[in-house]
Amino acid sequence: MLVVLTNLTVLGQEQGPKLTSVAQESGKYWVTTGVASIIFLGIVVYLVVQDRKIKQLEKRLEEEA
Amino acid sequence: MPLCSPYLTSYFRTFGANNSSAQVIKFWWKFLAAALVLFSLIAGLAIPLGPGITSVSNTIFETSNDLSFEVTGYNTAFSSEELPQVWLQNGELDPFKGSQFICADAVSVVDGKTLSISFDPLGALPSRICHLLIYTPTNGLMVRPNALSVGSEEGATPVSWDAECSPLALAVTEPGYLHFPNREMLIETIRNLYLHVPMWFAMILLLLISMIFSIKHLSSSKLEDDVKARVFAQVGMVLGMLGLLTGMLWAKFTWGDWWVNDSRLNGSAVTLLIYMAYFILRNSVEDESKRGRLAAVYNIFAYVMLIVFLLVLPRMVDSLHPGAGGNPAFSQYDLDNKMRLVFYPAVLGWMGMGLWMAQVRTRLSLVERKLLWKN
Repeated sequence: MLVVLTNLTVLGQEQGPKLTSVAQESGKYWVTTGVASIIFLGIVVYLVVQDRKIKQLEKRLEEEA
Repeated sequence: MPLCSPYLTSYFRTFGANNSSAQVIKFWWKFLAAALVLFSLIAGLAIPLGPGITSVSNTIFETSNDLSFEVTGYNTAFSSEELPQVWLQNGELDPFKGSQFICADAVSVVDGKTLSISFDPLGALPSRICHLLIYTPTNGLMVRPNALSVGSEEGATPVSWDAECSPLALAVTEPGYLHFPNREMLIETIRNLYLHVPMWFAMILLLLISMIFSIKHLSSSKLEDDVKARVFAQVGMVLGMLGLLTGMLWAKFTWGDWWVNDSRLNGSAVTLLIYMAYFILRNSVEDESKRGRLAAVYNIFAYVMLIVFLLVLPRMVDSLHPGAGGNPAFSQYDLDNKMRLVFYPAVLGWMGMGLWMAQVRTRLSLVERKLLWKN
């Protein structure tokens, strides 16, 4: 899903003449995008780990009951 | 259908199932939410802004003198091979409300981002305010509202309008790449829309669910429903605080101050304070059953207040904020179709992430309670 949606953006960029973008030239776009994505992926990984731990706890409690 | 990654397979096995495909179907919404938010972050930041006019060197002019000025563009690609067409628009910004156009007499390209423009003496103009319009097929039509104003009109002769000089007859083309609109004042901060608004929407959804669990608790007296109402309100508050912070940051860059005396801003602050009082109320009652009922009744009134302060009052008074003063926030002016491509996935994604966080917190709270009873 992510690949499909991201490709849509990339395909959109490749149409027509390439213009210079102030923020992209200086690299700020890519740094900001990278940092924001890493922070968000960190949150997702944290949620997945919590999900796992809680599932194990729930399972143990069910078994003990 | 086997999963591609062994890590993902082992993750799903921890949910107690050997059939990982079934688990993918069961938990699809969590991964969809994460993918949508990630997409909105990447696309929202990486898609460039369209061309626009950043500044005009000479903003006040006399109608009896020649008018010459330099224009600086943003993300523009001016070229002498494709000489831009330039107009001054006098009167209303809406060209169909009787405004007049004046064609530039000379336009020269200094570099890709700078144009030098000159007009002959304009003569007496009906309005003192002129908007600047620049068009090239590569850059599209760029408009700088209120770009120039008349200093004094003494000695000016009436202007002779050239009926053929109008951009209305142009078959205007958009730049041939995906871009976000370059709005005056907002410029690059327009991307904040994909964080600020979806966070508020997610907050409204979570607080609605919290209120539903409060109603359920009042009818069933199940403590589990009270726990769910509390957790959904907590996660909603976190998203609300993030929405408020992103809004303050946006206000600083566009309105010049972190907080302005605006109905929607004040309404959002009051709403968050009302929900803070909900948690204070919960903590002030020790008896679980009494606390649950009291908090549930308060939560229902708190949500009604949220609707009043966030959705009703701001539309009844004038406000700087889009979506206030009677106008809907997602009109053509506020949100164009290229932005909707990222905005709607962001809204769904943040709602899904909020639900995921609330689900994890709810399960954790219920496990804690079970362990507490056990010991």
